[in-house]
Amino acid sequence: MSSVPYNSQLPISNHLDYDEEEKKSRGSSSGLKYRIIYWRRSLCNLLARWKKPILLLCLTLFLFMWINDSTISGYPPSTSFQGQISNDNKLSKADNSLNSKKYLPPFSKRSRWSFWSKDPKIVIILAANEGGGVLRWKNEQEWAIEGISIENKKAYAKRHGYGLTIKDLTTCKRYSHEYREGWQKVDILRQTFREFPNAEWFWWLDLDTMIMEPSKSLEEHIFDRLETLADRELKSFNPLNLKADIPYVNYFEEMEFLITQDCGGFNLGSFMIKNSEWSKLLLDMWWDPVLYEQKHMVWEHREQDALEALYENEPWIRSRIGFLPLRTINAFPPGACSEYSGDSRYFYNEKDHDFVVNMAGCNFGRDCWGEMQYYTTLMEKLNRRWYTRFFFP
Amino acid sequence: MAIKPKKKGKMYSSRSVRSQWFNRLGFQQNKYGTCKFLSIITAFVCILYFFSNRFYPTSRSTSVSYSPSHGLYINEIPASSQLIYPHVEHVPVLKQITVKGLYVTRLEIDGSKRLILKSEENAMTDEEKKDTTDQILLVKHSFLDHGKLVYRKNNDAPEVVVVTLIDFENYDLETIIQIVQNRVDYALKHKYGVYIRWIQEFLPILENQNLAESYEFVKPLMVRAAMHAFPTAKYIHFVDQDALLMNLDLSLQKYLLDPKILDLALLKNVPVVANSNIKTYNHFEYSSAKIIIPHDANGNIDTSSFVVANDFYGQALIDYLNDPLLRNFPWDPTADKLSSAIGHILQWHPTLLGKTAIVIPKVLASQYDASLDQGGKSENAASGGDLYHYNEGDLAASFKGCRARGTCASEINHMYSKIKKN
Repeated sequence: MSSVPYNSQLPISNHLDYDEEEKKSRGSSSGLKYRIIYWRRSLCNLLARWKKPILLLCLTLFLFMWINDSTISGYPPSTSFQGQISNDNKLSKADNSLNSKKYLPPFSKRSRWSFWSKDPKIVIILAANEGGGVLRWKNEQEWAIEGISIENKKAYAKRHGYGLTIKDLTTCKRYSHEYREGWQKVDILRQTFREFPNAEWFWWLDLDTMIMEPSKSLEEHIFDRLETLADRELKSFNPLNLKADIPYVNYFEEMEFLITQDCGGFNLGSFMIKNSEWSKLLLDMWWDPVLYEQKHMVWEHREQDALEALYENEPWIRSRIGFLPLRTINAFPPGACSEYSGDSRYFYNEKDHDFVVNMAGCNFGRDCWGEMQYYTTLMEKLNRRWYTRFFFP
Repeated sequence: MAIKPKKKGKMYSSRSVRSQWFNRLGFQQNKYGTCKFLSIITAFVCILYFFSNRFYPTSRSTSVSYSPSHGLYINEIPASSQLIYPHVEHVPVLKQITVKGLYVTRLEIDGSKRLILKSEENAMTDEEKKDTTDQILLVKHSFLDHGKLVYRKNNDAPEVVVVTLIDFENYDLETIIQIVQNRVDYALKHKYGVYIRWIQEFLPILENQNLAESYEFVKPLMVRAAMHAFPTAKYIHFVDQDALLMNLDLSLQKYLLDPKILDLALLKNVPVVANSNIKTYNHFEYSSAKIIIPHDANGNIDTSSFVVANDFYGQALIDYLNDPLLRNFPWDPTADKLSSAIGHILQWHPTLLGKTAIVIPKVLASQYDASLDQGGKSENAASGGDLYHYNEGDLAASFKGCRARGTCASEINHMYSKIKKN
C-alpha cells in the first residue's frame, strides 16, 4: 500500500477492496451475498454522512404537512357531546360528501395555501343603482354616493383578494306588482351563486355602506372566530321576542347564513351566506305564494319578515343560521334606530374600530350624502398612516 | 492499515464541506454545534405538536356549548329497542279516558278550549309506577311518555324506519294489533326500525284540534318526530294506518332505492299534480332522490305511503309542511290537504322537485280495490298491467277512502289474513 502515491486518487471503493479480500478469504461466498453486504454498508455510510440534512428535510416536511393538515383537516371532533346529538349532523354530512365538495369545512379550517387558485373564496355582492333613476331623477349626490361606495368596496376586495360583483337593481320595480320588491335580492343571490360556483362565502352589502376598517380581513374578523362570535340561540339578543327554543333544532350543524339583528328584527343590509346546497334550497324556499299571500299586508319588510317567519317555525332553517352582533358587519349611524340612541349594541363607535357602517334607511328623511361624507372622511382619518402627513399636509 | 486514517480524514473533510451551507446560514461551526441546534429544533417542534392539540380552537365543544337538540318533549328517554310502538293493549282504557282526559285543557281568550302539551314534563319513573295502583293514571302516563322515546344506539342503528300513526278512537284493538304486528314483522325481516305513535299525541300541536279535519297534517309531524327519534336512519318510510305491507320480502333498498328499479318506477315529464303546467323532470339523478312519493290514479300526490330521506332536504319539506302558516292555509277541503300542500311545494320550489322522485303507486302504495279482489284470481291477472290497483306481490296495499266507506277494519282484517298465508 505504501507504493501508492499520496496524491493519486484514492479508489472510491477502498472498502470494496477490503471486502474483496474478505471474499477471497472466504472463497465460497456468493456474489449476491456480497452485493447485499455492500449495499447495506454503503447505505449506512450514506445515512451516517447525511443524517443532519435528512433530519432537517424530514423536519421541514413534517412542519409543512402539519401546517397544511391542521388548516385543511375536517371537522372538529364534537367530543364532549354524546354521539346522539351530533348524529343528525354526521348523517347529513356523510350524505352530502358523497355528492361532491359541497360540504367544505368551515372557512377558517381550510388551507390558505391555495394561492394558485384563481377564483376568489369570498365574493362581495354590492347592490347598486336601485331603481336606476327610472321613476325619479337620480341626482348628483346619489351618483357621488354610489361612486364612493363602489370605490370603497373595490379597494377592500383588491386588498384582500376577494371577488367583487356589483349588481344593478335597476329593475327592482319589476317585482313591485307582486308586492315582492325585496325578492330581487334572492334572485341576485341565486344568479351570483351560478356566477361564482367556486366561491365559498358571499357577502351581501347594500349601497349605503362603508367599510371603515379596510385592513381587517374577513377571515380574521369573522370566520376565524365564528364559533365564539356568533349567537345561534337568541340568548344574548332577541329584539323580536322569537321563541328561543323550538323542537328539532340541531345547533351542531354548521352555520351557513350569517345575519344581524337591529332594533326592528333581522337586517339584511349586510349578511353572509355560504355557497352550499342548503343555501340554495333556502333561497328557493324563501318565497312561497301560500305564505306570502296570507301575510303580505303584515310583512312590511318583505323578505326580512318572511325570513323571520321561516326562522321562527322551521328547524331546518334555524339549525344553520348564526347571528353576528350588529356592530361586527353592520353598525348603524346615530340616525338609524334612533329611538334606542343609548344602546351601544347598535351604533358605530370609532374608538372600537367597528368594521362596517350601514347608513340603513338614510333616504327616509335623513341626509344620505351628509352621512356618507362624514363616514368617508372619518374612514380616511382613521386609516391615515403617520407618514402620510409628510406628503399630504 | 494506512487506509484507515486517510478514510477518516476524507470523511471529516467531506462533512465540513457539506456543512458549509449550514455555515452560510449562520449555524455554528464547531463539531457538535449544528447537531445540537437541529436536535433542539426537532425537540421543540415535537413538543409543540403534541401540546398544540390542547390549545387549538378547532374543537367547538371547548369554546361554545349549545343546548342539545330535542323533540317535542325536552326530557327524553333512550329506547332500548329499535322497534318503538306504544302499549297497544291500552286501547280500551284509552277509549275510556278519551283525549280530553289525557291532556290539560286551557280556555283561550276567545273562548275556545285547547289541549296543551307540557314539553318540560318528565317521564314517570319506575318507582312512581310501582307506587301507584291507579290503572288509568298508568295508562295516561304511558301514553304521554311514549313520545319521549328516542333511539340513540349507534352500533346497530337501522337504516330505514317504518313509521305509522295509530288511532285509538276510530279503530278497535284487534285492527290496531294487526297494523302494528304487520309493521313489526316487516321491520324484523329487514332489520329496520319501527316508530309508531298515537295520532292523538300530536293533537295539542295543531291549531285546529279537530282530528278529522287536521288528520293529514299529523303525518309530517310524525315523520319529523321519527327523524329525531332515529337520527342515524337514512330513510323514513311513512305508511298510513289504512295500509298494510303485503310483501314482507321486499326491502326498500333493493326494491326501490336501487337506481335501476327507481328508473322503472319514476314518472318523468308528467304534471306534478293533475292539470299542472309544472312537470316532473326528464333527467333525474337517482342517487339524489331524497323524497319518493307516489301519484294516485288521478295524478295527484298520494300520501298514504312515502319515503323521505333524513337529511336537510327531507327536513326542509317536512318542516315546511309543519309550518303553521302553511298548515292553516285554507286548502281545498274536498281534497287531501296534505297532498295539495305537497303538490304546491313541489310546483313552486324546483330545488325540492329536483330531489323528489314521483313514482307509480304500485311500488309504494297500490290501491286496494275490493271489487277486483272479490273477482278471484283470473280477474286479478287481467288487471295485472294496472299501475294503480293492488296485485299480489306488491309492497303495500292502501285502503285509502275506507273511512268514507266505513270498511277499514274489515278490509284490513281480510288482507291481513292474506299476508299470513304467504
